[in-house]
Amino acid sequence: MKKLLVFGALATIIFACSVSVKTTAKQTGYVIPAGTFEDTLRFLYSLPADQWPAPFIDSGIVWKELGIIPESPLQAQKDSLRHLIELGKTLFFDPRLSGSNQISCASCHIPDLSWTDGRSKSVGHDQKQNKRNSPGLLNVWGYERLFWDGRSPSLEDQAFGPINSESEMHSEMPDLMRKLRRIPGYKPLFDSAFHGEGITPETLTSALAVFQRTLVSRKADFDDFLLGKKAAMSDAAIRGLHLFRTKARCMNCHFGPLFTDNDFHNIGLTYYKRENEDLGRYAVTHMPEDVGRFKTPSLRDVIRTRPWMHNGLFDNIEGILNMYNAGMPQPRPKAGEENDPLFPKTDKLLRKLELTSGEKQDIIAFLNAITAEPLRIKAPAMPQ
Amino acid sequence: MKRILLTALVVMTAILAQAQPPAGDAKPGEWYGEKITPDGAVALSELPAQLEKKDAIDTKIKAKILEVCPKKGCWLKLQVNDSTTAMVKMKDYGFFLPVAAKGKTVVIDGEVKMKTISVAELQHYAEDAKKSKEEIAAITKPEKEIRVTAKGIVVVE
Repeated sequence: MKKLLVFGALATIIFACSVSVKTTAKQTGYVIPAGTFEDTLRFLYSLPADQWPAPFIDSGIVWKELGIIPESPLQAQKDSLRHLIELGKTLFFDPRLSGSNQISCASCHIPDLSWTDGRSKSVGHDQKQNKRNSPGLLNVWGYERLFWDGRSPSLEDQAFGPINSESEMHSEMPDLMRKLRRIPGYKPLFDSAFHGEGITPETLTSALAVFQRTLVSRKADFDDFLLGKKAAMSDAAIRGLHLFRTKARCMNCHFGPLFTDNDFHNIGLTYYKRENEDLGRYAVTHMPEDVGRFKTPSLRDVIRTRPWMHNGLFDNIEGILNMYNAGMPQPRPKAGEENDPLFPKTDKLLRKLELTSGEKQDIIAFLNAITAEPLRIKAPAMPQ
Repeated sequence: MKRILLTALVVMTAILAQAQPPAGDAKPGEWYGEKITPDGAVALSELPAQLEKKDAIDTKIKAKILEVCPKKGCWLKLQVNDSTTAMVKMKDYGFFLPVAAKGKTVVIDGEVKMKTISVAELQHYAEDAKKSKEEIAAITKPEKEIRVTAKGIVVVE
């Protein structure tokens, strides 16, 4: 009886949703076959995506439907860019890019760890701990801005950061140029990649950027499901997909095939005037509304990119679900802080969700269904 | 041919996407990186003497900007005295200055160090620059340069 009632309620919701969906989708008309709650969800999510139940999205948000993991835009040119990509890969793994000759890009972006480093915060030159969590590089071509605070507009520009930073690779670009030019094995690699432009900061960072744009997630269970393999997703994962899109409100920020809005949000982790304070995007824009805002990370492969958040302080996915369920921290100004224009404001998109523990487990099952093991990458031979 | 064109296209796109230094006039009061006050800053010209006794000094310094990295605003050159300059890089490569900061007097909160470039390194560089054997042999003294890692910068004049 209870099941019937739930089904009835769901059917009503779905009816209501499908009304709004049908205003944009092609009218096909379907009859939901009799079955359990899961059968119904499975049926609905097996329809073309434009006929899925509408997601819960707050007004004003320009969202994109979830979808199959896209290929890198470089895919079509991969053959013609072979030398450039190979050079970029070699440089990416070369520790001689660092002042100590001990740290390569791959030290903090480890292929086996989905191109993260598994640490809360990365360890840089002289074993010094850095400020933020090392992000994974899969699908990095899809980000409009780089770094957690978005201070860089391109991968080419971004590459200058870790190389030159005193706390990361601790190089000086002019010294690094001299160093690379003294390694005879690099000359032919740069020559075939750049046709005589030589070893310059621009060719170096361009090769690194192009290589990183080739890194994409492998197909996960969710992709297989979308491609027609209906057994690829468990009932729990399908329930999780529906919750992700609806009650849990995840799709307000994590949408599109890469599960990110490419925007910046304050999710209540500013630690204002406390240890761990990080004002995020405010340091770049100086706009008070940007206090505590950080880039929305893609959720592709999320189960493998722990620990999470810009500061890497959260290493338990149930814990993170509990925090979102509670609406994330919503700090209130203390006496004397009422008129502080910089007092951090948690994004209005976050609110209490009333998820049951079963529902949280379902969402985690879905997060597993958008996680795949990365391709094994062998470090290339280093030019001598 | 097609390959060259495609490569050129990729490189061009890359160059178009290169960052510029941030926009701005660098007027007095404008700040970069951590927000700091100018209080308690010492003149940069006093630092060389202090660096004789200590390797690194965490302090606020006041100095005039001679040069700003024209490509990204990621480094500065400061005037120490008539014959010496200092090189500034931003902590964690975390922020940048507009080129308009050139010629302005700023207060910088950060770490000041003396960097020594060894004779061997200088000789290497000279070799790379295709200097003659005599010129290379004439290098016998290490070069010293003041380096600043800036946490925050505020324009004062």
